[in-house]
Formats: sequence, structure tokens, C-alpha cells
Amino acid sequence: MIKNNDKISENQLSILLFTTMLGAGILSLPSDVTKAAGPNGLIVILLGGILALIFARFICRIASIFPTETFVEYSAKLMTKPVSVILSIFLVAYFLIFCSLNLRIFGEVAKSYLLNSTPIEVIMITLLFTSGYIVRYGIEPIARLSEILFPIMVIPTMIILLPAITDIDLSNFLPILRISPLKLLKGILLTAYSFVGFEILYVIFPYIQLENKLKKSINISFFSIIFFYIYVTFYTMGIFGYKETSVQLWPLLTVIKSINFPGFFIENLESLIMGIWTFAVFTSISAFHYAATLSLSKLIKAREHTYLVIPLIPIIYFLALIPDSIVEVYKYASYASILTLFFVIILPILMFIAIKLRGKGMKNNEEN
Amino acid sequence: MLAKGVFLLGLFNKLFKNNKNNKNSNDEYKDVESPKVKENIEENIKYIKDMLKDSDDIIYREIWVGEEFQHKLELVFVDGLVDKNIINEHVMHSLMLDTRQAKPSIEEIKKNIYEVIKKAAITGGDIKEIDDLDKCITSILSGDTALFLDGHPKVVIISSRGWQMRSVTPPETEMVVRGAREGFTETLRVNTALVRRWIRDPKFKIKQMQIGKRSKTDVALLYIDDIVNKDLLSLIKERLQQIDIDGILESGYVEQLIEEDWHSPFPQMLNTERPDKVAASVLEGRIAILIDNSPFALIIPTTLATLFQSPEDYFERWMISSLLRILRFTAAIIALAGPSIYIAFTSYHPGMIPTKLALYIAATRQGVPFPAFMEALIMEATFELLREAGIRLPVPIGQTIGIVGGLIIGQAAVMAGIVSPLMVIVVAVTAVSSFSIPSYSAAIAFRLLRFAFMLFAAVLGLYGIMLGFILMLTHLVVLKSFGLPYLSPFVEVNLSDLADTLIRAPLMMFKRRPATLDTQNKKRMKDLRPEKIESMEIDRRDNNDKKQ
Repeated sequence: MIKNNDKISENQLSILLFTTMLGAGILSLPSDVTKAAGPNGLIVILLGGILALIFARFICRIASIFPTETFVEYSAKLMTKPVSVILSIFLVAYFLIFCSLNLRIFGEVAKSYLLNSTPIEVIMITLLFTSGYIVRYGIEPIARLSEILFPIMVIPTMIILLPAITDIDLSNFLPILRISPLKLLKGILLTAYSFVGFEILYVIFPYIQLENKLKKSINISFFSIIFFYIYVTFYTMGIFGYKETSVQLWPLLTVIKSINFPGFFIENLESLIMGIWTFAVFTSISAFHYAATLSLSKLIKAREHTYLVIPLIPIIYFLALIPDSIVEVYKYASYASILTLFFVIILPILMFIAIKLRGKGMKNNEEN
Repeated sequence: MLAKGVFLLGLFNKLFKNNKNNKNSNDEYKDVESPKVKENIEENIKYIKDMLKDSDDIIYREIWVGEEFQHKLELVFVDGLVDKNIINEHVMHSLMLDTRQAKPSIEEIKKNIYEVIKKAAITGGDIKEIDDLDKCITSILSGDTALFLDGHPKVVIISSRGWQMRSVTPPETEMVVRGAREGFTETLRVNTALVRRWIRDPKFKIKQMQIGKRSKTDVALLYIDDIVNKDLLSLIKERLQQIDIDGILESGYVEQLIEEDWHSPFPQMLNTERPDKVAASVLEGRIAILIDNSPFALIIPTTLATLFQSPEDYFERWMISSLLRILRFTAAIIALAGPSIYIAFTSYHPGMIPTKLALYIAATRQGVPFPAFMEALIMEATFELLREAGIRLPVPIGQTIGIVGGLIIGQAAVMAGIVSPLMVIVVAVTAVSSFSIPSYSAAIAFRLLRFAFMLFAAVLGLYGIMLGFILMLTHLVVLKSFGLPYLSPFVEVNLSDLADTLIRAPLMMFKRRPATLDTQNKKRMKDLRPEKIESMEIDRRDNNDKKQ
């Protein structure tokens, strides 16, 4: 009770990872997946998720060799200082970019479905300042908030989709696996991009209370989100078929629009879902915001990360305003997926190699 | 992380430092060395008369005892605070009449009349001796009687408290249908006795201290020694001892002086008028604070979930109690966001309202000159005024003004065209919901936040309400009540504790104390499974055979 030590438990970690990964990406997930792989969408999600899981475990493995240091510090040990500084700046930029992507997509959806006449800038600024409020307190409140918001955002969504089960046509999922392996691979890499969020593990590792259940909690978190994505994509592909899904912008909302609870006291369910979805996007944004603030503070050796929270808000805001329309947003998102490739796949491999190369040197450091 | 710890430590230090500075700067009262009781009774009485001059309710009674009335004693007490019976029967009667009949030997009397008097003469129950005149004065002013003996450097304090007090009545703010109907009164000793009737364990401790420089109010800490978390206990003792204020008028003062976050609208300790609630909390491992002159006890630590618990939940069976709990949580959400949802839906998302209702609302709101936000604000403000007025009116009028007045004024407002009828209903339902929250302090917090939510809804609709929830949840998530996160057990999820929050699980599941309190002794109940009573079946069979 009074033993609070600002660390998050491993249960909280798995929920935090889940809510960070579950952001604005899910709205367009079914269309991305069907564009890449046709009717094999579900399989691609599963494989993409497992790929992301493998690399998340990879990052964990690397981070657990330096349990009290964030990326900024241990990359300086593994690679030389200048390389590490450049990589850290890229990491900060990475978090900021994904934060602003989430923000912009959410702003567009909110403007279309919730608040038609409010300027999108207002929607984004208010969400950013709310995020800034919680980021100032550190990672533990963010994890606790995720714990509380997690059932509120997941359970209503899953329940609301249930009536649509009658419209599902299972033949929409055929033919299975009649697709070239290259295309499948491309599809998997594309879906791995939907699992963006676990890179915060690079920086929050020192704040985890390690109790030897780390692997299990990461597994649970990934399989939960894979299940949730499959659940949502199952409904969209089942109702619309893969060709229709691939041309829609936000298939999930279209599905919910078609659902009608007779006699319910709310009619346009998709606005309600968008309201609840604010929580999901908020947890993603605040987690990325925090990761960026923390990395930046370690980089410039600030005493506390709280000073940097407010200065980063205008940066995220202007990044979010760069694309002119929703079409450009998704264009920029596809560029950003290349960055994901680098940070999630290439960088851990490089660092692992660096660890092996400096094997003995590292062991000496550990003993010290 | 480390920085946050340092920041918190700094905050603690600031709290402590302030108190120390105050003690040094303006402390004329305590710095003077307190004089000791002198052997000459006249000097002692002169000192006391000096200190207590111009107080005409202090009585000085001289007595002479001994075979030749050679020893002078003096009684000092406050008229109105003492039980005259004790003084007349047990002190003066014994001293004046019985000593003459007791006949101790002349040598004993000559040597030590004081010991004789102290040990044999006073037939009252509770006596002690002190040699500090200021402490003696404090005792006199608390209702004890001081007995001075000429030639002896000590004074005997006889406990003789007996003033007019309110009898034990049902608690007015926390009525239950099933359960005890005793509530605390304003006298500390009566209150501690009430709690002791529930717990007869020798490990149940009642530790008293005095707080307040001029009021010297008795404050009692109640806890069970082998259950409570020792760190928590020492933290609370420290905080109480750091209080440096002239007078403690109510438990609210103590609450505000020792709580950690005074910015928050949410109460960080529970206050209750019921001794059974205090006993139950103490048995769980919490600490209760009873304060003289206040019928409200404080229970530390508390979480948001305890604010929704009523003692009745435990006395009735689990199914109905679980449903009532869920009802209360729903009521809290309605009390918080009721008017805001109305504002958001009518101003920003009319598409979300069922078509028939939307048309009806449009029709009724046609004549209303104000936008939904102003309408809601006017009705809510009127209702708050009515509520505040209802408290001060005498009981017969107060009841009627509250409910009937609200509805009638609402109806009149509708007919005048200021508000729409749906608004009146929303406000009425919101008000009723806020009354169903068991803890008054929590209900006040929700009342306050309701206006903030209305503002958010007016600016940003449903999105604004969601942002409002996020901000409120962020605040709650960071708030700690004496080290316990305010939203336990929803946060740092602990399944066994959850059994007592959203629902009330059957008693058989309450085998362990709340894990979040980190108590010393974890188990509170043995496996309670009623064994199958096979013998009853056999009896019935026997009866059937007999009938045939």
C-alpha cells in the first residue's frame, strides 16, 4: 500500500500495450488488410500479429539486458555515442509522428461522425492538452488509466457488433490462401504496421516491476489484440466481402452504421462508438507522447520529463496539420510504415548483433 | 520516477516545515515554563484564581478534615461540566464524614494524611495525581475536580465529568432499513464506548491525544493492533501531531488538516455517524479517528469504492445488495453526466436521439428562448438554491419545499416558457440520483463536477463529455488516500477485492481482508460452507414410516 514505487506491474504492462496498440488504426485496418491480401485478411492479421510479437519479445530481450536504462542510454553503450544520438532523435521523431498520425485520423473521424461543425484544430488541441495533463504525471497513471478504460472501450464495441452476425456470409472468406507468397508477405508486413505501439517498450522498460512474468504478459497482450482485430475484421469482411471492404475508408464505422437496435434509446450507434473510441485513441496518444517526452528528456539530460511535455504539444499539432486531406493522411501513413519497418525489425537485429559482438564486454558491465 | 518521489518528499517537507516555523514564531502560550504544585495551598489556589479570574462558573470549595479540622483541603471544579452527584456523595461526603468514622491511627494521620485521603477516603472511581499546575487547570476545564491538600506538593484529579448531552439517537445522515439505529453523539467517551460494544478484542486499541492549542480537543485513534498496517498508523500519528491550530471545532477540521491533496473535490477519508461502520472498517484494517464534540468519525484510508458502500449491504443478502450497488454506481454516473448528456444530444448530436423523441423535443423546445446549455444551467442553479434553502428551513416546511417545490417551480417554469419539460425531468432525475450516493461528501463532489461536465458538453458535445471523463479519471487515478490509490481495486486489479466493490459477493468469499490495505493479519474468516444436513432426511423418512 504505502510501498508505491512508481513502477507498473506486469499485468498493467499488458493492458498498457494493448491500449497503446489499439488506436486509430483499427478503423482502417480491414480495408488495408483486404487491399493487400484479398479474402485472406484474417490469416494475414494473425501472421502479422505473430511477427510483431516475435519482434516485441526481441526488443524485450534486448532491453532486459539493461534493465534500468532506456533506449537512449543503452544504445550509447551498444553503438557509438554519435550513432546513438542520431538513432535517439529518430526515435523521438518516430513517436511524435505516430502520435500526430493517430491524432489526425481521430480528428477526421470525429469531425465526420461526431462534431460536424467544430474545426478539426479544436478537436486536436483539446485532446493534446488532455494528454499533456496525464503525461506530466508519468507512466504509472497512464497505465492505471488504461486499466480502467480498457473494459469501457472494448466490451461495448464487441457487444454492439453482435447483432450484425446475421448478415455475415461465410463465403466471403473464400478462397483461402490462393495468393502468391510474395503478396502474402507484403500483406503481413503491412499488418505489422497496425501493431505499432509496442515500441514504447524501448523506453518504459526501467519502469516495469519485473516478476518473471514478462513473456507471459506480452504474449497475452498480443494475442488479445490479435483476437480483437480478427473479431472486427471478421465482421467487416463477412458483411461486405473483401472487394467492398478494400475500397471503404473506415469499414468498421460503416458496419456499425448498419446495425440497428430497435427500441434502444440511442439511434446513431456509430457516434456513440466514436465517443467511446476517444478513450482508445487517447491512450495511444498519451503513451506515444510520454515515450517521446521521456526519450527527449534522457537525450538532453533534463532532470524531469515534465518540462518537455508542453513544448512537444505544438510540434505534434503542427505535424498533424501537415496533410491537407484524409487522402494525404493515408499517404503519409504509408511512408511512416517504412519507419516502422526500421525500428521494429531492422534495429533490434542490429542491436542484437552488437550485443553478440561485444559479448564479453557486456558481461563485464553486467557484473559491475 | 525518482523525480516524482523527490517532488512528493519535498511536498511533505514543506508541510512539516510550515508547522515547525509556526511553533517557533508565535507560541506565547506554551513557551512559559509550567509551574509545579507548591506545598502551600494558598499559593496554588492563588495561581489558579489568577489564571481563571473573571470566570464565574468556577467553584472553589474549602474543606477541613481531621479530628480537629486541622487539615485544609480545597476542591476546584467547573459548575455545569461536573456531575454534582459525584462531588457531593463520593468526594465531599467521604472526606468530611467517613474519614471521621474510619479512624486510622494517629501516627498514620500525622505522617501522611495525603495517602490516607487518596487511598481510603475518596470513594469515586477514577483518580490520578499530578504536579503540574497548567495540566491541573486543563483537567479542571475539561470537567474533572481538583483536590488540593495543604502541605503536599501534588494535586489529586478526580474524574467527575457529567454534563448535559444529546442522547444516542439514530444517525440522521445515514439511515438504514436493517441494522443498528445508534449514532454517535458529541461526547468522545460515549462514542468510544459505542464502538467498543462491537469489538471486544483486547487488541482493539483506543489511543487518545489532544489537538488544538486552545481547544485541547480530545482525539481518539481506533485500530486493531495486530491487523493494522504499522506504517499507516505511524503516518497518521505524525500528521495529527503536526497539527498546529487554535481550535478543532469539528472532525472536518482534522480531515482538512491531515489530508494530502486539498485541491481535489473528492474526500480522501470517509466520515460516518454510525458506530457499526467504524467497527467494520477497523476490523478490515483501517484506522478510525473520533473527535470530541463531533458526531462524525473519520475512517482512513478510503477508496472511491468505499464511498458507495452502505452498511446495509452487508446485513442483507448478496443478490439484492449487488443489484443495489450497481444501481448506485449508475446513479453516480447519472448525477455526474445527466444534464451534460441532454445538452450534448440536443445541441450537437440530435441524430442520436430516437426519431420520435427528437421530434417531440424539437416541438417543445420551439418556444424556449435559451439554448440547451442556458436552460440546463438555469434549472440546475434553481435546484441548488432550493436544496440549500431546504436545509435551513424548519423540518415541516423543509421537506415540502424540497420535492414539491422543485416540481412546482419546474412546472411553472415550463408554462412560462423558460425551460422545456424534458429539462425538468432530467434535473429531477439527476437530483434524485445524487441523493442515492451513500456518502454525502462524495455526493457533493459529484454535484460540483456536474457543472464542469455541463460546460464541456456545451462546448464540445459528446466528445467533450468523454474528455471530461478522461480528465476526471486522470485526477482520480493520481489521487492517493494515505498511500492507497484512490481507485483501488479497479486499478492494480485484485480480483478478491473486486468482490466487494461493484457487487457484493456472498459472505463466503470474504475470507481475506482487502489485499490493498496490506494488513498484518490476512485471514478473517474460516471456510464457511454449511455442511449437508443428512440427518434431517433420515428423520423425515422415519416420520413417514411411523405414519404408515
